[in-house]
Amino acid sequence: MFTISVVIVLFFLGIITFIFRRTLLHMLMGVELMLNAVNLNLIYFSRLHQNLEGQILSLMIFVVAACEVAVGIAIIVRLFKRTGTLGVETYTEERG
Amino acid sequence: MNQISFDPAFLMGEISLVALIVIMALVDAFQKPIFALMGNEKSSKLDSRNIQASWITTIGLIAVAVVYFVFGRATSGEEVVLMNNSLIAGGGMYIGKLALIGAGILAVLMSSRYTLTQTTPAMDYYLLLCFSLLGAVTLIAAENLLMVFLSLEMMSIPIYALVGLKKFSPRAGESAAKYLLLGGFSSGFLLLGISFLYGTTGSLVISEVLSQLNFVNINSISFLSGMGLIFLFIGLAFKVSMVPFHAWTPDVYEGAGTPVTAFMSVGIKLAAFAVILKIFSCMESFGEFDSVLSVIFMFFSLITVIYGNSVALVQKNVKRMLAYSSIAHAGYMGLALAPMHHKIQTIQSVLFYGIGYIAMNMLAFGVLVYFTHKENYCETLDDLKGIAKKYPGAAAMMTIAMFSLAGLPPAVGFVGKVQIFIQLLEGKMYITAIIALLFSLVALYFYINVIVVMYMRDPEKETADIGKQAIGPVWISLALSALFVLIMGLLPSSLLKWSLDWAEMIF
Repeated sequence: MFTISVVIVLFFLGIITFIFRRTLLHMLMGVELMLNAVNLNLIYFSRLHQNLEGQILSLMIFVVAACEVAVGIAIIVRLFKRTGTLGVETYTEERG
Repeated sequence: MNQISFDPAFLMGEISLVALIVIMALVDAFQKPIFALMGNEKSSKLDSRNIQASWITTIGLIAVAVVYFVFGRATSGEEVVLMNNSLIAGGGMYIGKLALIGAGILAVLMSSRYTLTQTTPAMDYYLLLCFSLLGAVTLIAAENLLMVFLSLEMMSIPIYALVGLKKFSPRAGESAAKYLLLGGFSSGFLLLGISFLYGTTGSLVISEVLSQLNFVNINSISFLSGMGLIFLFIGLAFKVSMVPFHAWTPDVYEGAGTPVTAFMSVGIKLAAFAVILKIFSCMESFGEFDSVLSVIFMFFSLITVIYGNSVALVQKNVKRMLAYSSIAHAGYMGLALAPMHHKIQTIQSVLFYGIGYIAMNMLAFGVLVYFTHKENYCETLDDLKGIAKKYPGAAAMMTIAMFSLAGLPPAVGFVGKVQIFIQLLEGKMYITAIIALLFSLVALYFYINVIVVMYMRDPEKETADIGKQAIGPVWISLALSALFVLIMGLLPSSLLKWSLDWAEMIF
């Protein structure tokens, strides 16, 4: 249960980063922290069950997270060039 | 060892889609120099290259659809699990894939007009759309939680980029960033759910996971797997935009280009719902946990219907109104799952609604694309004021779409809603059914309002000429979807049979 507790703590740290650090790069880092917490969980379970499926999934998560960051950084750079800031409070073109 | 070799006929559609993507990438690389070499100055201009790109993509996707149809019919006799328990194929699976490819074709036909308002080469745009389509067709066939995650991301990541591609729009970048961050956030929940399910069952294959879940006596293992199921649902509910995971929907739908919004609102929604159905509405019963899931589905779907329909009432922007209406439609589809009685008719009703929703929403967005030109994206109700005088055909199309979205006969939306309500009544959820029905009456107001604005208001300024460039493909897409909406609304038996065939593969 110790590993699962660590994973839950890491995951919620990611959520807290996502919610309370209101700049785009920090939010992206929060998402990465969440994904890596899941990776830890998968590797632990993979060892527990003595099969490789969990480790393969965690490798796939690395790949997908890298793709997501590549697209994300491109979008963020474009947004930064246009507005000169990364703070989400300043993006007010859209109001729900 | 698991079998490595398999009959390629089962995957011919996906193979041809990948081949199309490769061909498009090559054309994208060599299109300009080849025309410049041939001395064809006119064809090397951006606009005509964009039109060529749209034709190549349309013809290619139609060829892919034909391949899906031919090989799907040929292999419909048997059901197989391919590639080490990753994908299911055969049976009625080709119907779902054809529905998604059809949504892609309609979106590409619309885009041929839309991309003329942009200054970027259109081939990038079509490539990203085809990648997303590939993710969607593998997602509905996924048999493995690894494959579910991979194809969900393959479907979503190109859409993040597509949303950001829109030029001259201060909103596009913001929408793309919002969609990307919330999409990543939701994948985090999806993966946490997957890891809990893997931890409690030791497998990633969906059928094995479901058969090993044990909710008979409540202990820490069943608590963990229950949390896994709930987190998995949260991750997928983000993609189908159910309240309270809907926050991105209106902004992203409004900020993205209209054809992208159209594809996003139908393709992603249907594919993600296919996975929800596969996991939560399958033959395996969850035992004690069924009542918990039933309450979750009823609560979330009902507030989705209530929120979507009430907020759509006050929207001035048609795209934003359609975004809230798409939230409400996700709620209707989710309501069918609420009884949790594990019957194939539940899956059939949701798939029927989803396929019908593809046609009607494509029709509504297609009319908005029809009125898009360089100066005006045509997004607000003011843009639609009194257009019926000058453009009676397009106004009639919008009327059909609004009737279908509101759930009035003789359109496919009516039959779909009836199917959903039959599910609720069979599950004896009368109060839920009455509330959902009341809110579909509320929805009548804003759908009919669009028709009133088109036919009975005078335009504030002289209706601008919308130009004739690439209007033909938009007409084809409008006509196809309008025909589908009307024919399936009047004679729904064939669509019912198709969705039953597909449902048998999911069940």
